[in-house]
Amino acid sequence: MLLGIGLFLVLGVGTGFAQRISFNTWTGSDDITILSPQGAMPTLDFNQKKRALVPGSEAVTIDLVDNQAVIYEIEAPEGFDLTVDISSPSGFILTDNPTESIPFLLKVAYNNVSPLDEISGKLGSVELPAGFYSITFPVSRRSSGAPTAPPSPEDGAFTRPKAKAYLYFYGTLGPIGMVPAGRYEGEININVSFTSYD
Amino acid sequence: MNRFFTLFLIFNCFWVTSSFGQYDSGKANLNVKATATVTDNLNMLTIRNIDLVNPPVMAGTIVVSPITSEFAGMFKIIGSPGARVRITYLQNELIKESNEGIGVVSAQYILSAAFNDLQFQSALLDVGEGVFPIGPDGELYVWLGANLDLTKAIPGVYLSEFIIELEYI
Repeated sequence: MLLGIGLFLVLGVGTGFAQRISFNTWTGSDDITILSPQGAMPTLDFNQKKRALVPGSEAVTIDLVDNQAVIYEIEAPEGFDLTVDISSPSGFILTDNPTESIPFLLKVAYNNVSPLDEISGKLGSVELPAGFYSITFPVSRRSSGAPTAPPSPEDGAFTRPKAKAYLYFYGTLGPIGMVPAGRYEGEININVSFTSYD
Repeated sequence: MNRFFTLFLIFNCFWVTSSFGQYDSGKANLNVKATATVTDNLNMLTIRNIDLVNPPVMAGTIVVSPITSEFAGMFKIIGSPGARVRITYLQNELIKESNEGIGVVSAQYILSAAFNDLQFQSALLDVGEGVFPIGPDGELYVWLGANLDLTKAIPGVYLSEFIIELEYI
């Protein structure tokens, strides 16, 4: 009897994965729409945090709670997982001379607990540790209870309910070394897709 | 010919199906531009010190206008073109005679500023503080004038240092 249980346990090891079903193939024509409540193409502008950035000065940080943090709103059908991949430069480059740069560290936070709006969503958001730029989360996280049934397939009579999640971008620029004056830029690329567990 | 047409139709069907397979709506890309404009540090050069020795004393006062007097002191500020600078300075001062401390000179300092080296066109800063943009060439000129009241002064040595502060805003 004991031997049987022991054998079962031994055999059980290695096959004890939770069930994971990739629904991404059934999303059909449902789109992920991304908008910013701050208008088209918001920029992470450090001059709005500190007007005069001079050579040889300390680092400037835009915090999550600051108005200068860039906010994006993701609208996607409820019940799916989203994967967000972010690529960010490690420095801002002078537009006239690419050899001159200022170090930059991007920080990212998300909120998928259906906040009232994008500002109140900052409060309960999840901040990724510095340097983590890939994250998977459900579009809408349930606060309690068992998971609901898998998403229904689309048909003519059924429209899938959508939910909103928010992404926040902020970070630290500097310290600003003895760099020449001018405009420094960096481009952050964000790729949002339905998660496939393939 | 008929057979060829059927083949073509079948091929066409597959082509349509496969193009649907490529369609992928479940992705979205965006990019965020991050920017910062670095401005030059402010530099101030003293071109000429204020001359309080040569102007004539009239009714116990020395008046050096920053706009009209050739005795006015002059500074040149170099920074980023168009950036706004706050100029703060000490407006009133009582200078005591440095040896015995009996005589007192009361001084009132006045500044004026302009983009170019044109003293007569400079604008007065009369409240101890002013905000000026730096000119398109990255230069701003400031003139220093003073009103000295010598009625309570006795002969002696009077020393003071005029302090002017500049910062970007």
